Amino acid sequence: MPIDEMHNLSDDKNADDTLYANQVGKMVMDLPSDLSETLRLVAKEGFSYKEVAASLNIPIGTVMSRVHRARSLLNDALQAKGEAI
Amino acid sequence: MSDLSLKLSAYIDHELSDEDTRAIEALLATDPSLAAELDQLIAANDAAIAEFDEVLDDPVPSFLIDMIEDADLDDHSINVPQAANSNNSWLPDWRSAAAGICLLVAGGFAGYVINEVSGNNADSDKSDRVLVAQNGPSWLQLVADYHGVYAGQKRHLVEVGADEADHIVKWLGSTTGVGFSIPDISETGFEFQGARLLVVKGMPVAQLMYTNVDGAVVAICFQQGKTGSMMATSDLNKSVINEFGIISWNDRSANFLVIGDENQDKLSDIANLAKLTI
Repeated sequence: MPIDEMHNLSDDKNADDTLYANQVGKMVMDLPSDLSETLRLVAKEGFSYKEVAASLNIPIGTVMSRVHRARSLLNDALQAKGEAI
Repeated sequence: MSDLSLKLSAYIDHELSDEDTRAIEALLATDPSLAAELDQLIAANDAAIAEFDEVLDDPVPSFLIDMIEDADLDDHSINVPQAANSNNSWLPDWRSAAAGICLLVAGGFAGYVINEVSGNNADSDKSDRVLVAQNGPSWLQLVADYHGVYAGQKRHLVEVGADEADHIVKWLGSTTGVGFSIPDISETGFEFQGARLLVVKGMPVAQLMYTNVDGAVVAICFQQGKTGSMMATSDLNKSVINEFGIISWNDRSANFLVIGDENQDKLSDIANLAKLTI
C-alpha cells in the first residue's frame, strides 16, 4: 500500500477515535445530573457510598441505585452505539 | 433493576460485605451472562471515568490558575464524614480526592467571578461562552436553572415548609456546613415559604424560598465557600441569567445569592436584608 494511503487510513482512524470519544462524552453528559454527579463522586473521586450519602443527604440505597442506574443507562447507550456502527 | 444487578455495581465499588463478595464471585464463576453484565458495567464505568478525566483536563486560562493557586483550598473541602471504607486501599487518597473536588469548586467560583466581571464588557456573551466551555456552568448558572424549574411549582414549591423553620435551619446548616438564620424579608412584601436542598457540582446548596401576594418567587441560596482570597468579596454583584436577576456575595466562608425575576425591583433590598440577617 502506498505510504500516502497509509497516512490517510491513519488519519481516518484518528478521526473515528475522536468522533467515538466525543459521542461517549456526550452520552455521559446526557445522563441526568443527579446520576452523573453521584457516579462521578463514587467512580471518579473515590468516595464511599456512605460518604456520598452523607454529603448529599440521601440514603445509601439511593446512592447505590443512582450509581447502578447511571452505569446501566450508559451501557445501554454504548450498546446501541455499538450496534449502530 | 434486580438486586443482583445492583450488587454488581456495589461489587465494582468494593461496597459489598465479605460474605456478599464471596457469593457474587461464586456466581460470576458459574454464570457467563452475569459475568458479561459485569464486564458491560465495568466498560460503562471506565467510559464515564474517562469522560470525567477529560472534563478535568480541559485547558484552564492562566489567570484562573493563578486565582485557584492563590486560594486556600482547604476551606472548600466537601462536608462528608471520614472514610467509611478505609479498607479499600485501591481508593484514591482521601486528601487527593478532596483536593480534586476543591479544584472543581474553586474553578467554578473563579468562573462565576470572571463571568460577573465580564458582564460589563461588550464581549461578555463571548467571554461567558468561552468560560462555560472551559469550566462548565458556574454555580450561578446552575442555580438559575434550578430556580427556573422550582419557581414555577405551585403545590410543591418547597421540600420542607416554613412551619418547620427550626428543622430547616438544622437540616440545611448541617448539610451545607453553613450556619445561618432564616432572613425575615417581609418588609419587602415577601414571606418565607420553606426550603429545598440542591446539589450543584456535587456540593450541597440551600435554597430558601419566598413569595409575595402576587405569586412572585424569590430565593436566597448559599453554599460553603471561603473568604480571604481575591475571589472572596463582600460586595453585592449583580448579573442576569435566564431572565432572572441575581445578586451574589461572599461572606463568612460561604457564597450567597438572591435570585428572582429580572424585573423584580425588590432584589437589592432583599439582598441587603439577607446579607445583614442570614
